[in-house]
Amino acid sequence: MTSLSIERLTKRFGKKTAVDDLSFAVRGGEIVGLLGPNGAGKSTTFLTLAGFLRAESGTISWDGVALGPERGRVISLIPETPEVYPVLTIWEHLVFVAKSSRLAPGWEQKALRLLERLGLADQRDTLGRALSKGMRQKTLIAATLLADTPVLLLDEPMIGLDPQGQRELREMLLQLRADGTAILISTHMIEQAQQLCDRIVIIKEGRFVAGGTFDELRERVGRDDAEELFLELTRA
Amino acid sequence: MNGDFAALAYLEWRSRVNTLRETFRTPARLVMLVLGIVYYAFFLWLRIANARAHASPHGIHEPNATLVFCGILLLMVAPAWTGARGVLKLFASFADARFLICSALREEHVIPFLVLRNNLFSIGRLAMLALLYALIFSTLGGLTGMTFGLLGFFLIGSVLSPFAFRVRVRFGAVVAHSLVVALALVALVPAAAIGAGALWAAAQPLAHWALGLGFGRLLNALFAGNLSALLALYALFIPLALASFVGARDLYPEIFAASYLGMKVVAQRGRGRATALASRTSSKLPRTSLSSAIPSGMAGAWAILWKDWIGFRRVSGVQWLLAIAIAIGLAVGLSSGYLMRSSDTSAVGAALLSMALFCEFAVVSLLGTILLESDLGMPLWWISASPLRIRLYVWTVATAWRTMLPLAIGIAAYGIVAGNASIALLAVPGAVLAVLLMRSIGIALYTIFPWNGGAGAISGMLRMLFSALALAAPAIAFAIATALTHDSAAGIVSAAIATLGETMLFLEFAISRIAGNGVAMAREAAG
Repeated sequence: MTSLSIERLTKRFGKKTAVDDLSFAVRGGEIVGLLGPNGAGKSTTFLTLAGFLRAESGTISWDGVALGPERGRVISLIPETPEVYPVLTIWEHLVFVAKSSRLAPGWEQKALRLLERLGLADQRDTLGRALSKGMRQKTLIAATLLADTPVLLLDEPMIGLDPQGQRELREMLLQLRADGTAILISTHMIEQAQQLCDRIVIIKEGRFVAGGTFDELRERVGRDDAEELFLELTRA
Repeated sequence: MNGDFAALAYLEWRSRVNTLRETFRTPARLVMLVLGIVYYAFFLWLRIANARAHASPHGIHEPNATLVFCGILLLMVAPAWTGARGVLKLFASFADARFLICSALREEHVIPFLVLRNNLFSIGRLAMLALLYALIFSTLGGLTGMTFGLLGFFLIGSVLSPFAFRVRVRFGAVVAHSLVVALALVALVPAAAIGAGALWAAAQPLAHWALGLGFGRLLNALFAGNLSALLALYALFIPLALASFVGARDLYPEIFAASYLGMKVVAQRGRGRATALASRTSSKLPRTSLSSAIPSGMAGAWAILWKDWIGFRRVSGVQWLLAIAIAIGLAVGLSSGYLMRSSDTSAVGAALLSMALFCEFAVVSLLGTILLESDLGMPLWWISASPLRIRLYVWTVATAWRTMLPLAIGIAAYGIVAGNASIALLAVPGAVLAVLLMRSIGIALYTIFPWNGGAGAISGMLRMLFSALALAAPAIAFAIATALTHDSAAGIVSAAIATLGETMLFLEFAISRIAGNGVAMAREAAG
């Protein structure tokens, strides 16, 4: 089965080790939650996986093939801070993604459907600088989903979205999972992770702490409540 | 390949078209554009008229020609140094990085695009500037030769930064820094040899050696429009430009980090980016004792001064920039002073002096971008117990001292070498008043046009226009006081009071604009 494999990934900033010998995998058709307290190294892991930061060591591979510097065809990132081009409209963002990804003719229909689902159809000619944080987030989501990469990284994607937007995103992610996309998502909302993720990986100070399904972890730690479980695992 | 370039061309084209549309739809932006064009056209007309009246292209005499050439080389060191230090803003924003890195575009197509976009954007501005320079110093050469010669120098200067950056990535920081130091030495050694030859007879062989290098001849040939010399200059630019991006691969992480060091408000937004920045700054700081963290007497608005100081101490790149600015100020001050003392106080001396002043004011002071949004957008700014007026006054001082220092040192060096004690004595108060006035003009304009806090292009022209107009009040105050008291000291004091008054007027205007509107202004400035 296809999977995104992260093996012994290490990223340092000077003397500080932000990601320390981290290994885990995300299979195609699976949603994995990357959880950890503030400063655990989640955003650094995402930026390193997406090719924004250079890892000191470790390999990142997709379907058994190590990924080089150009991994944009495989991995797409929705960063924690949603930023879009201030002087491009929502639709122009999508056109750029379609052109740069060389999407087949007919992509416009898919783009329009995405905008409809995310409630952006009426705003498609609005410039990026005029968008609220939530709408910028939705624009990024639309652009990312349009590119249709087999791996999706979402860093705190629910923050800034209204309840309707959160529901739509959840449904879209479930649909993508059904289509075989490998999804890695970071969130501080434990309940949301419980609802959405097939497995979770908990990290602290850049190191792997625990991994598995919620049920497996419950059994291992002996706590039923998901929040208590998280706190127990990250307390040490 | 064509698909990649088509996508990138689309990105650039739509960005430009939408920016232009926005300008025409927003009255304030349109007014700014029109004012900028009118200002440039006026000065162009003025310079052309002036150039015709004084056209006598005899070239620059030695050793001044060699010194001017060395000065131009020295000015190129600053951008090369930033590249060698790993600061290069190729990604215009985090969105730019996100959409280009997370795309199917090939990196060896994206990187040339980034470098070309970075440089081509400034070519129009550089061409305009080169033409103005050519007209200002029209007695030194022909208009065509000077325009293309200066543009060639500007182009080489603009490409040196990505070139030094790539050398750093490929061969390491030591090699990149050594290369820039070598460039500085190519300029400094002949200049020092000429200076030594002028002071000590024993060093005259050194001066002859420096003059024999042919820098002066090359400069005169360029300014006279000699085709071979111009072709040689552009022939140097082309390989440098190509070496800065051709075949570049696997550089995204370094360009991302370099861009974030070059971006304005990196520390304020996003943990991921702050983390990227942390790799280049002192992330592990000594633990401060809670009671001694803020020095006593630095409470209230004065904490802004303290905040700027600790920021300065923690970012080594800023310290280096200040050191370079001081070195340039000193070099320009010493050489200008020397020229004024020498027998050759003709057009060349005057032109060099103008150039020196321009460098001091334009490069060091005018180009100081107003980044008020990074404070206005922060809740900490608004929860201060001190009134907005005091905070803005302190902010102005806190962001001005780094400009005052090289300016004061440059003027003092000029006064000492030129043997003019008054100028040497007035260097510090003069620099303080001049910088405060120019910063206050910048801040006042920022509150009208917050999206363009920089000093480049039209915003810079407007700042220069207001700076020129603002000189009228001190000049009038000086003339009246001197005429009434027959004492130039009284005139100087009056001019200083007038300057201070103008500074306060501009700041009061800014305060009236910021009050109740600061956060919106910060958002607009941040785009």
